[in-house]
Amino acid sequence: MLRSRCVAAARRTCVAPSRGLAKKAKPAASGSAAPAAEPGVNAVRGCNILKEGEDPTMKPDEEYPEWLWTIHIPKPGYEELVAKAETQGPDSLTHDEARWLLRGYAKARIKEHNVRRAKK
Amino acid sequence: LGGWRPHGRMSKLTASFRLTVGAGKASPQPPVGSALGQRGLNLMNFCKAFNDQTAQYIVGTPMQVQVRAFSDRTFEFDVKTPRTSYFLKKAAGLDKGSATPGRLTVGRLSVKEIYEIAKIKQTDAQIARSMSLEGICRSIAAQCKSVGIVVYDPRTESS
Repeated sequence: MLRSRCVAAARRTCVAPSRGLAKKAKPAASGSAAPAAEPGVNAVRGCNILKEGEDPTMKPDEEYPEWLWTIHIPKPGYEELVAKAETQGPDSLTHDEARWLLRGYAKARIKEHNVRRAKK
Repeated sequence: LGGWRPHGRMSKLTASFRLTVGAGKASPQPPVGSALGQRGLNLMNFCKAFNDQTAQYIVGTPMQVQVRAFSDRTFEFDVKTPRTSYFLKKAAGLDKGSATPGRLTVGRLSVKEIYEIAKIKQTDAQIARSMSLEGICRSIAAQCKSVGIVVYDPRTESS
């Protein structure tokens, strides 16, 4: 029953992917200069492997893309997605979450099937 | 080695293997020498070509090399960026990764440092072809776990 609701949710959210999200406009050349290159404090050590060049310094927050602040946050696992779908309804899942939920369901099903077969 | 791969040669691909070689430091000694010699490849040719191609890198930087040997004893090779773990350890100031990753944390990196490392990895043609910069960043952030490095958002710590 959960599966059919998930499939329905996945189909509903499956619209044509938007091509090329509008790039976030860079703030018009700000008057302030980039932070001074202080190797060890602001530079990424060992990053530069070319003879000519220095370790890149880290730029102010605005110069990095928005998604960067989420890369270290793990995406919800299968169990969490199941809980979310059951408490908030399958429509609360984003397209990617719905896809992952379906994959997780399929994997769990295969695993359980294999365990059952192995036990015999 | 099954399948046809376009390499513009009449001879067949007989071996495909990976090496790690210090930039500018290829020499006929083992292990480089033995890996190539076993397949009947000309060591001096490889060393000269490799050292020329890696002339712009800091000497000794461990570059990953993919070598393809052909049945007529010629070869091709691609020079790729060093392993991601090399960059991670350097950026975090580590000699070695954690002995028990997942339990023992030995370093931290901010997402900005991950980004800069990802830009270096993006210079590798094969990676650039298959992954977006965001994908590379996520991949590196996830890899930090295997080395015992924690990734954090520096904005939460700005003073």
